[in-house]
Amino acid sequence: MDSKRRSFLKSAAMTAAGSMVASGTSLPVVHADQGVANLPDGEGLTWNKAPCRFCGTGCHVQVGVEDGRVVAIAGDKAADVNKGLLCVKGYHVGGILYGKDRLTKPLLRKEGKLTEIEWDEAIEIVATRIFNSPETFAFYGSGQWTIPEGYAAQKFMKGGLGNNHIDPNARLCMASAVTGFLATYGVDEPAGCYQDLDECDVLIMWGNNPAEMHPVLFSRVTDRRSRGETVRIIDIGTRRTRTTDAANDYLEMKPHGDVAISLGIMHLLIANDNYDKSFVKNHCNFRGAEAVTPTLQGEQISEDEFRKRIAKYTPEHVEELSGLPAEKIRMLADLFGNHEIRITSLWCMGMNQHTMGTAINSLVHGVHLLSGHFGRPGDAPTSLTGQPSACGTVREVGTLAHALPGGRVVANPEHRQQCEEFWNLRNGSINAVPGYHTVKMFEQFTKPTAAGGDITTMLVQVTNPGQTLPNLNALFNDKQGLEDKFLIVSDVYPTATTALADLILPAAMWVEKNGMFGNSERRTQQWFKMVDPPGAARDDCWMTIAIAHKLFEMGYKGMQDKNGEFIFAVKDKDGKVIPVWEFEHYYDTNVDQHLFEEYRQFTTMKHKNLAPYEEYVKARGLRWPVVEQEDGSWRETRFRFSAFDDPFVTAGQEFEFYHSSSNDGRAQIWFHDYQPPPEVPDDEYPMWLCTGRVLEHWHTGTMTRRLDPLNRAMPTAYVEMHLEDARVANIRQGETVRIESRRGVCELPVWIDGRGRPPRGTVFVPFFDETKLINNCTLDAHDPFSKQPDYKKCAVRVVKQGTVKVSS
Amino acid sequence: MPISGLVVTFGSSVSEYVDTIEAIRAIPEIDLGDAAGSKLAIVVDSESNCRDHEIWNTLLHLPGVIDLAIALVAFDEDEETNQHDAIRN
Repeated sequence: MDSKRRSFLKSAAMTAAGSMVASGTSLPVVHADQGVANLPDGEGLTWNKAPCRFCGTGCHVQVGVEDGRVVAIAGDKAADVNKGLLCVKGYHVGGILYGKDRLTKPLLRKEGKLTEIEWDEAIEIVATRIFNSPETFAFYGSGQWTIPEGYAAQKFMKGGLGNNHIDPNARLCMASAVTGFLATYGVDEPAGCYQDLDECDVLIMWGNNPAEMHPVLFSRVTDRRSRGETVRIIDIGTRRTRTTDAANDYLEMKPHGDVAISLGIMHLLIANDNYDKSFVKNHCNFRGAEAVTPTLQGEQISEDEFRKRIAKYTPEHVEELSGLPAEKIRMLADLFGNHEIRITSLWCMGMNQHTMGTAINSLVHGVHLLSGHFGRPGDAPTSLTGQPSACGTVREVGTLAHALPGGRVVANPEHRQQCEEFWNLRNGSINAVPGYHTVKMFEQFTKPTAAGGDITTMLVQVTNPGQTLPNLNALFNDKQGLEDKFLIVSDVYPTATTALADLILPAAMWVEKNGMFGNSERRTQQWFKMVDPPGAARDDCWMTIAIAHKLFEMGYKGMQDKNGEFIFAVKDKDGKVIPVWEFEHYYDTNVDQHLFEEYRQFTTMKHKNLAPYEEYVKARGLRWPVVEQEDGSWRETRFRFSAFDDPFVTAGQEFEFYHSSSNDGRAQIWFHDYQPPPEVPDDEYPMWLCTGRVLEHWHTGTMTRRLDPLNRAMPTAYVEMHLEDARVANIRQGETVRIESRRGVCELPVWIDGRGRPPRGTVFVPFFDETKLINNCTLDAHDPFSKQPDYKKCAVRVVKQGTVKVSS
Repeated sequence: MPISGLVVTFGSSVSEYVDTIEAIRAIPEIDLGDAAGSKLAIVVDSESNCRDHEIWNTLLHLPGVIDLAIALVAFDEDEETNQHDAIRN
């Protein structure tokens, strides 16, 4: 870096830091475009906005580009989400583009060796595999797909191929949140927004650790404390974390104890007669699972029946089930019984990666509904997502095996017909049978064809199932007897998944392409391409369109619409088709904008209205529903179902759940009986294993492990262990041990009483390290409705190198 | 060779932490900026990521410092990263 440029960047850094100081708080409230205005452009240095590439918080950054290269990252002060702040991952986000081992050429495995090939050959190989057997093809995607990428994949599969075997990795992280919202409100995604964090009196974390996983959001709360406000933070968890360090109360529970605790709170609200009778009478129904074949719809039950069922969940019984002392359950119930305070519940993987995931999500919603802690700023049950567009792409575009865009489902003939009309497809193009969910998809892919494994070709984009699937030895690792199967992986770096790929496609990432994300608070965000991808790396969306066009050229009927035109045809203003399937023409137009405007027509059906693309260009994201005003401006919505903010609530109503599954404008308060976890420690495997993430690395570490500062700060996975458990087994700090489950093993160094502090009988292992695959050990048991696996609890033993086993 | 714009937050007014301010000023890679209330703007211009990390930890442990926030980071061809072996291949 030359001295002139260095001096300039130091000046920009001082400007950015100084402006945050001058604003008086660490989360300054700013408006308009201040974020850009006070970051000076230098010679050749330009700044532009983008959402961060990592988690679901949706922070905006300003990206400094010089000579075609990202050279600086600043927090975007104009962004309402992060107001200029970034976490340690966010401020390094620019470096993820420049790892030494970027994939830059398509690679085909020939006789076991990866060989460079040209894109034309790669696209032809993929298209031919699909052409020859379209029904045995599966597309596995991601909550990191941009909205247009996910929409293109969705249309390609369900519209073009009539094949519903498309599912995302988000199945592994937030599917239970989806089913919880659907079961309760009849429509997905949180009613509230991050403003709830600014206005709550009590913040309850249900098994999550936002201090590390969503640090900027958590800082909104701790920052209130530094300004002298009182916020009571309650951490309900199975191990102490950095979140615990900031909490007023740490409530330690047994794994699965959250189900019992929520039932216990509702029991006490009714027993103490301090639930919100008016809110319940006017806005809620009671619901329970059907006795024979439970569904998400359930069946209505009377309030008396609800009281009868919940009567057994006394504080003492809940203490037995959850391990949480009865007086703490009473404390929680008293808080919810207090209508003078505002309570926000937050959760993430702890409640979602759970074999009772749908149930616990529904029950926590039920606690808020029963107590009336709903619909005012600061009173909200809110789930967070771990990926930047799990909401925008997976949940809204609907890239799940059963879904269509805009909250429609393939099983509903009206929904299929409507979708076919929007896509201008022949009647009956869309298959009525839901495809395989993630675990089933990989079961069918890794099962020999002769034994019924009816997925033979799989395309994986923007995700790393070779590291993230549970029970990897069963679902991914073994290729014996699978010679006819073909795995295609699009990624930016070599990964645990590309290691077994037959064909690797080099992808562009983040600001190397146009994009749109949707974050955890319903905020749709947009950015433009700022730099070129390296070598022959290309956009995932382009790959999908190029494969589709190759099939179109081969005469595959599904890739033609009713008029015989290519289903992804993009025309210029004179009506001439732009050959966007040729990469040199892909940026002749804004393909994202074309796809988004087509997708946008789906979004009004579930009142998730989106504004035109150009509105997102101007904004740091807008929270749906976004509705056009009389003056032509577009207004976002912070609080759904509440008349003071939601334009779709009928005049005269205070609250209205207008997608109620009971068709009466009411939300559902569910009862679910507690059920034990699918696997519990025993004599052979005496310890609980919980898995998760760390502050420094994002998910499987494919990006953050290429960043030296982050990799140095957290270079290896480890197993957190309680001092007494280690002492009993004669295990020392730093010693490498084997974690063994019934499904596999993983060797890890021990960290005794480290950053996270599990109780006796529990160990914790993060999953970011591809050299230490803890998912060899995890369980693929999943929730019956969401099909989301439980990564948070299974039985293991810790074996000292040699033969010693640890007992709890 | 990272450059970062940081905001140091103290437990109370910056003016009450003269010794800590002097300790920060004594770190040669740091330039002090504006202060207001409990916050102080600084820029760190270090020769390596390793040194940057050391400075970060030093700042966090100085008396009175309760938080360290990042406002901007600039980076360039990162020699350390380029020397880092690929994770796979």
